[in-house]
Amino acid sequence: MNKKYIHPEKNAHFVKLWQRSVVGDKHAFCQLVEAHYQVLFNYGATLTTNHELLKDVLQELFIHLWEKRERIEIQYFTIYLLRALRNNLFLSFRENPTSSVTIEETAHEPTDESTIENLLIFQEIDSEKKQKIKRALASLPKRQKEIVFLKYYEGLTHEQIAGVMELNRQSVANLLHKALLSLRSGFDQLHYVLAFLFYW
Amino acid sequence: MVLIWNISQKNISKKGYACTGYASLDKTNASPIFSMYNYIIYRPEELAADPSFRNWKLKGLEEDTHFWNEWVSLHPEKQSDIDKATLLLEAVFETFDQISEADARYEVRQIAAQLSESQMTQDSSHRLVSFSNNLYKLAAVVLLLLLSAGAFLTWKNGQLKPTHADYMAHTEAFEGLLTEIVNTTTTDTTLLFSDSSRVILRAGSRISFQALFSGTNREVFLEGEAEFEVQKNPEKPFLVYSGDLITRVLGTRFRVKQSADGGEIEVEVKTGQVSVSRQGAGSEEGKKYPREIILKPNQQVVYRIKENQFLRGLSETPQPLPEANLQGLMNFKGLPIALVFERLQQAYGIEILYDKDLMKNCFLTASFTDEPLLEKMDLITRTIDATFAEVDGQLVVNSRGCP
Repeated sequence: MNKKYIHPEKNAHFVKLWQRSVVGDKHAFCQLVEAHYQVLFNYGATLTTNHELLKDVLQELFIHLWEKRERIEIQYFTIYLLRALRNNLFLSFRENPTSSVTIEETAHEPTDESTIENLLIFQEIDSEKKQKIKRALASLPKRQKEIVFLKYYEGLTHEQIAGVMELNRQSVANLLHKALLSLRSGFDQLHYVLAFLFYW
Repeated sequence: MVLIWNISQKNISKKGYACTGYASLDKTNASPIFSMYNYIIYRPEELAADPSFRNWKLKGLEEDTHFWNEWVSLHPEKQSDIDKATLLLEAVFETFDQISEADARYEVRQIAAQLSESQMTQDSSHRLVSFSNNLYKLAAVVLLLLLSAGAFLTWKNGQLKPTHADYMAHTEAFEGLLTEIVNTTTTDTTLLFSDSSRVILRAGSRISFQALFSGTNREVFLEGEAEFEVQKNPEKPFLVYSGDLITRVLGTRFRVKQSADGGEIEVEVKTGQVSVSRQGAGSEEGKKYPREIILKPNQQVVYRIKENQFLRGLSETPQPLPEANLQGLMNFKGLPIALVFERLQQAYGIEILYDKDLMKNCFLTASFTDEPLLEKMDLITRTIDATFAEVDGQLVVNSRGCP
């Protein structure tokens, strides 16, 4: 596996790219966009199922960032972007209530890149156990889904999550605890004899 | 449990903010710091959030993969927890991956095309950004950073004293098998070794060791100052290499410090016993070296490199041993001096030499609180009209007897 989550050690590199962007280096900026696009999209997808809206918000976010670059100071690049995306998405929900959040699960549509070969591998490793966790994840309330994303997809610390979601650290711990509990009770209700999350 | 978790959190943020700026490329120091923690007590969801575990599972980083493979082989009973953590990560990534790489690339191109030209960009032929081009740029940046990191290291080498050469000579022999921890912060850092021994690494010091102590000895290489608390294991002596000094322990607490100019090395024992010798003492050349020296609690030795000399003395402020009966040191009511000294010897593990016959008529009535040992000795000897001196890590009392 070589996943797209952004390694915390990368920040120094991003800050350098950002400093070059600030003085007008478009290539540096594009590297930043490229490095973050998937992560930000996936984060946004925990907040809205309207993917077209999400793409628009992301485009606006990056273009705004580029145009106002001389006035923006960033210390922790990835965190800054996660937080900005979150704020902008919520603003856009207010302007456009119909495109607001829905909690239904959207199926992962196979794209052009999903060749038959990929698909076969995918099915092989997609064990029954994993399906159970995925179902439990999909049925989590929105905020819990969001926090599970930030913790286990992005690998952020409690403090960093607190910064993104504008909560205090204790609330983060509580919410995450609740999410993990829901995962477990989800299995309870489904009467899976060997639901392994019991013992967590 | 909570403590260890907190330590790891603290270190993550330290590494995130306080590093030199080369850290993103400096893999040798990047992850091993996490391998210090006691993963045995980690639950699956903690493993799934652990940076080193994620490096292994999500990025396949060599160092972490190596560490975890070894760890699993040492703790086969934890395999199921590892499987759970892995499954959780896989489920998370499959659930939350909502855009394919191709779609993302398309979106990024759209954004790139809309970026306004900056006045500062001189070359306007790069209007549409091509990403293969960016790869070259990235490579150039990486190379540049590596070069500057290299320059940085060389510069540092130039500044450092001969002891650094010793340290490098020691560690290079292991060709990358060692884990190195450098305390770049301004405060102490506590590390937990795989055998549960602990080290408090002072600011600016560095230490190298084999993460799992797989050799016949537990060997660590130190530059700077550190305090060790070693778990007893008679079959695997714990060796600290510092400059060309070796400190050998079976289980104890002690401190090793190199002076800033590298001309002196200091070893101080808090509990237990250690032996200190010069490297190569067994060889022909080694006959010139001072003999191995045994240090007891509250003793320290200073090794002067230029004079090739061991100077043994008492610790600056001797501390009572952990098992000491402190109550017995508070009040003395007409107690024979031999018993007073006996209690002090036992409490501090320091030998007190005096003439028993001559002093058999000396009795002490006094009460103390928590004065340091040397202050107590001063008060006691003055009460009985005697003096004392520290000689070779022992206390010698001079008296003409009591009437």
